[in-house]
Amino acid sequence: MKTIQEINEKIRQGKVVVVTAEEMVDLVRKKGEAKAAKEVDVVTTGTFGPMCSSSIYLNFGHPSPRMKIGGGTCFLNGVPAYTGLAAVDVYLGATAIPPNDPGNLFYPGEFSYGGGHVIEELVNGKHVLLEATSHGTDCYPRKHLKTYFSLKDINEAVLFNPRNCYQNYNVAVNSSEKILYTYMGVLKPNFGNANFCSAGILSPLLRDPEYRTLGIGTKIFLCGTCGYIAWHGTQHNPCVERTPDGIPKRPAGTLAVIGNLKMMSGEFVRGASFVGYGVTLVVGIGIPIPVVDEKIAFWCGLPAERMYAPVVDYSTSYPQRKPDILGEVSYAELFSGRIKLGSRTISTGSLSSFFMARKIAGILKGWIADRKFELTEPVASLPGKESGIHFKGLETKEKHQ
Amino acid sequence: MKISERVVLRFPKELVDKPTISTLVRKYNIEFNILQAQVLPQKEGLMVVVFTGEENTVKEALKDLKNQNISLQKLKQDIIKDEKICTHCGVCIGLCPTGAFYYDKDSKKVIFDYEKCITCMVCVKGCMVKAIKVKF
Repeated sequence: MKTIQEINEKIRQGKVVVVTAEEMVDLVRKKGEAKAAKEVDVVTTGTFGPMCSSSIYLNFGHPSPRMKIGGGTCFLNGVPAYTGLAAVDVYLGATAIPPNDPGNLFYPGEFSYGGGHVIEELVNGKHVLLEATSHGTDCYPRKHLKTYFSLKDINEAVLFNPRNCYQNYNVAVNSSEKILYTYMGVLKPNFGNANFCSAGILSPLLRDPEYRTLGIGTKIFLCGTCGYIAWHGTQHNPCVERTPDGIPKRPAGTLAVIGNLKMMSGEFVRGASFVGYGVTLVVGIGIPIPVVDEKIAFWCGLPAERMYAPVVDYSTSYPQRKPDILGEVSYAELFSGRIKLGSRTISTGSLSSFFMARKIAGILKGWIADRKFELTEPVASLPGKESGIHFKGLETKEKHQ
Repeated sequence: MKISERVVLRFPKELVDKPTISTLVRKYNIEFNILQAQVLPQKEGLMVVVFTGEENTVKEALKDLKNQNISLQKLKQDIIKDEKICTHCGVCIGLCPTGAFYYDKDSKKVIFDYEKCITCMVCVKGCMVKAIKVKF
């Protein structure tokens, strides 16, 4: 019906019609998807939540004399960075914690500072303490380095997240008698609360559930600037059970994304601490969905009542990797503040901020309307529901077979 | 006029084994609800209490406590949701046993209602960006 090139031409002429996914729900409800598909060119989405598989890589440039941090050690504000790369390239993951952090020795641990916080401080322009050691070589003689640096002082700083933007996610509950500290937050005993993590109707991959318009190379909103989809994310699992509408009923697709850390805004990159669990990074992502046909308009207009998430017991099934779920609830119920599970009514809490997701979708809409952001054709598709990909658990082996 | 005062009391060591609250409520005929208490022999005690009664009698009772060398702070000044830090995710909403957190219907921002808070502090543990702080 419409090509991405035609939509881009409209953007250039200032004639594009762009709405957020939230607005699209109302539009499709009132006018139906056929009319909405004709009227609307782009639907913007947004999500803002903790995404543990987030990281940065940095190139510091050489000190004088030169130094081979590669193969040595490197700490950023006391948090270990990975050095198994070239001389002055290092890699820092969001969940890294200082070696002297007590972890869960005094349960539940606080995990007050780690990789995610270092990333946030760098984005905010702060100086970070770099301490490195090396074995020293003829070409790279320096063995010790202690200096402060900010993003302005170094060559490259790239955010590269191997898994973000989960398409749907578990709702976590706790059937046990004791409080649980998990990556899904604090779970009170005896089904005391239910935590979920999705922007629901604004969630990017719930709006293009079969990955028809997005893929490798797609330009996106990433933490306040433009980034790109680099690959499908780790644990990408497109072949899960879907509703008759085609929406996954379980955690499904994921994205690997990449972008220039130096251009990002601290508003959308936040270090976070989960008591008793660890450190992570809260990431803001927005993806434009070109309304190329009625099917895309239909998906972008689906209300929260028609998207379901599985309720999982984090006291038994989840840690033991059992597949059983306690039920399915709609995102309309989750966002209402209460879900029903059998005879129980449970209060819900969201780890993902709808307020920020809406803000991101709004900013992206503004960029497109103001001709600052054009859409991209994917260079290659992401593995879809026909790919046969099922993500695996790791079967432990006694010995090499 | 009936009022409710939510206060944090710090007992010196020598008062910990005295039935201070019980004596007080009988003397002034006021109601009390203990939200939190850490009162151990030979240690300084800490208690979070709501006193409810006629405005005059509650004020008199609080004055009485002060005269007994018990330090006294109003509770709501000690609970802070830092709006500069909060991302409005709403994980506190599901945790809070009294509904002191809720989404504003239009803005979807998380609002904190001091009046409903019982300082159980579960939200402090649950907040991933440490936007909620309780200070005694």
